[in-house]
Amino acid sequence: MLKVKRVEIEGFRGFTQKTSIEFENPITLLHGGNHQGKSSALNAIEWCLYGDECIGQESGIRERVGTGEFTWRVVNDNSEKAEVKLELEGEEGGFTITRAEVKEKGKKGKSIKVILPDGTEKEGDEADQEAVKLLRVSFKDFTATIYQHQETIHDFVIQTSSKQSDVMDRLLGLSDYRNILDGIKKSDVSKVQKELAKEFDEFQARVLQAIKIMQNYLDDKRGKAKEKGLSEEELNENKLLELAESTIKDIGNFARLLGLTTKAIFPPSNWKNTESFINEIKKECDRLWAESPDVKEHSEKQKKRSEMDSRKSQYETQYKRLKSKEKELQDFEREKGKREEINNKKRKAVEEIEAIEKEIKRISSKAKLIEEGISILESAVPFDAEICPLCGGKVSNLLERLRKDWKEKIEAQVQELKKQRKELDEKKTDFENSEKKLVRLEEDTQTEKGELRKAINNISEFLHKVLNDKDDPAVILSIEIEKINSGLKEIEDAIKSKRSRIEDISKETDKMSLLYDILLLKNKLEEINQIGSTDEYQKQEKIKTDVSNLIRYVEELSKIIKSCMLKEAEEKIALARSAIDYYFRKITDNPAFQKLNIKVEEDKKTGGNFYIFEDQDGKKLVPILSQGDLNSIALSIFLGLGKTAGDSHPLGFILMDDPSQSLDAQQKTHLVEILNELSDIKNITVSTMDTELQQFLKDGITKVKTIYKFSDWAPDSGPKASKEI
Amino acid sequence: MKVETLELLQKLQKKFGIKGTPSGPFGKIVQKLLALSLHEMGFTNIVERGVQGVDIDITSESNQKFAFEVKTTEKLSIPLTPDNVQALRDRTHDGYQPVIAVLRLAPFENWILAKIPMDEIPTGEMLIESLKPYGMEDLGSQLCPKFDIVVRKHFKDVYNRGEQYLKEQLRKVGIMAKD
Repeated sequence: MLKVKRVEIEGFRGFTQKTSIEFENPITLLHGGNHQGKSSALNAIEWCLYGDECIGQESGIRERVGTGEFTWRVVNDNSEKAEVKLELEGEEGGFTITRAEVKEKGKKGKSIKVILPDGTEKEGDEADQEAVKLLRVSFKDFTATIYQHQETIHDFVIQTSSKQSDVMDRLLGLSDYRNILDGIKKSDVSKVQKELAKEFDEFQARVLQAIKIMQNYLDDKRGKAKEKGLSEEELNENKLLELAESTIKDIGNFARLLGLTTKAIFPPSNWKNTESFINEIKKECDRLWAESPDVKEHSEKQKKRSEMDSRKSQYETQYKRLKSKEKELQDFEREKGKREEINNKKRKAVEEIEAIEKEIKRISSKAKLIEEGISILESAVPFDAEICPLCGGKVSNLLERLRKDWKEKIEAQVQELKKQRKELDEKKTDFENSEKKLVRLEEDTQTEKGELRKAINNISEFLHKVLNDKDDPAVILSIEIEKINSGLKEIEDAIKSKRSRIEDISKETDKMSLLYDILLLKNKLEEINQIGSTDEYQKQEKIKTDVSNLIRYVEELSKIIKSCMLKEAEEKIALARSAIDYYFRKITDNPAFQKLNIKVEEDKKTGGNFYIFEDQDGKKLVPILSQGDLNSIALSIFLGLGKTAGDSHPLGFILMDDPSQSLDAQQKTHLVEILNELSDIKNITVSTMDTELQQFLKDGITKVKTIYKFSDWAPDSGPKASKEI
Repeated sequence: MKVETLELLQKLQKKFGIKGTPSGPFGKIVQKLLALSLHEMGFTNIVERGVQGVDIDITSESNQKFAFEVKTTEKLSIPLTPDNVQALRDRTHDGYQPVIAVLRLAPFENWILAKIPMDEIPTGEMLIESLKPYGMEDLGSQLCPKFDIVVRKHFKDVYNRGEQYLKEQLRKVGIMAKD
């Protein structure tokens, strides 16, 4: 059996300076207050044996799970390097394992060296392999059966029953199973499955929407097809092609009816060519119709009627214009007189003007003579002549008075004449304007007459008929138009029956068009059907199926793990049952507890293990147990497993960290008795701050013991570990 | 399932089904259409139940016996009640293998015939995707085209006369229909 002989610790956790602890006796007691380095000493042994395995989530030890500032630090804050040298002693001789870690160097800073009994030194991976060969116990089993951690008791005592099951798993070394199950739960593959299904569902919803739109169209088309006499059974390609064949025949018959020949038209090879076929049929119908003799004649007559209408309208318009102009001329002549009359009036005015001009000239000459006469008289009479030479009467200022009278008389006469001439000038201008307007009216009338003549000649030419002034072209044209209308009606009646044939063909093409739409929609729906068969869709389906399979496999794996976990727990408990029961009864020493029976069941909620603690009567113990009793159960299980697992590994020591947390004095005494018994087969190291337990150990252990007191811990020097003698 | 079949089923659902409820006349109609399809596939000793117990019992040519719990839904999951599971369990005592037959009314979906070991059938809501690993693919692929044909064939009469028409059809082809 391998037993710890000595450990040297430097720079590891609470230890700064090199400290050596010897375990040469069956019992080693490490005592001292809190935070003095006792637990670090036990941790140092564990770390030296298992390295990084005892750190982090995988360790199953809660205080070592933290990250960042809560990381469980190996290297002391005031040291650059942690180094633990562990000396083990067995039947084969001594082994030395030295593990070191340089701060912040990562993997490169980590080293292990093993010195075998023959002095061979192994390092690195080889050293790790040697350590595994030497220990032959996993880290989980080490924590379950060799190293009783402080938190195991603590958790078991204060936690709920489900958490106690967690502690039990740890005590039984089943944390790996639990970790895997937790990992599976956290991975939540079923979430991926749900998300995939949801995404697929959204895609299907979009497709469904498209289908519904198409189906609405289809239902609408089906309704129309029914209205057109197509039954549900006829809504297919065969019916469409059948209609195409019959339409071609109808076109041929129609052409013959018109006395024409039709061009060769072939039915569509499949329904997809329907549109071009229908276009061809429509074009041919239009062509035949346009070339039909009746239609041609109808068209020509329509054209002739249109031309006659146009000429008639032209004539009537021109006739109205002429009549309007003639009326204007007549009204003018009535008002102003005819051209001769106006001329005469103008001429008379001119003559009168000339006469007045003459009179004015004559009066002017006479006035000049008289003026000269008066001037002669003035020069001939040297005095103021007051006797008139004509009558001999005496007149004062005779000449002056004569000149004044004469002047007034002449001026009045001339003024009067000028006024008359002005009036005559105005009259003359008025006559001249009237004459001009009359001339223009006469010319306009002649122009309109000419235009009317042209219109009549046009009609005459169109009708090939001479029209004289007595003929009324409008009436003649109306008669001709009526004749054409009558002819048109006859033709229209004649082609009406032929036109119905085209309408029949058009109805057939409408049916084909409807069938085509229906087949097109059906085809699109079929294309949607085909989406499900595409490689891409199948790939997506496969992914979904693969995920479902994965979930199934994971579920199966979970079941297997749960089953293994349950079986292993049952086996371990079965092996250690009597030892656990013995230790429990021994520690508690309570007559009420005659037996401790531990049962394992599957937890229906979590699928993990659920542990039930029963007494001799099958009564559940947990609700009635004190914290001390729970502490006793945890210790009993640890010690029971440690005792029974002894044969499976070569480690001959047990490390117990603060085992008496909730025990009363009597229970502590009983624990010491058990440890005393166990120390026959294993070296036991107990770390405690409990002075009562410390005293009980000192007094109750009958074997040789080594006692260390941990004290005076300081950051830069670490603990002081004093060996008591 | 063809798009056309989906369309016809949706029309039936609109007339006979209450949205969101798997049971009701529409669910029973689909169940009966499934029974007719299974008959078309050559299964014998078919028993279709309208009320208590599993929905459909069938026997194959190779004398394999299956008990079907039939579910029709538009959702992504189906509810499995303790009664459903118990009914399947009861049939296993007579040598029947439990099958959960699910048809999701959505494009490209087909019947899933999931043969799940009795002890693995859960109760509560079950994601349809989770049934696929247990699917009897051969049987499913044979069933789907038959189901398309059966739905198309009987649609008009089912639409006009409902479940009663299908009951008559089941009896006509020798399927025992228990109400």
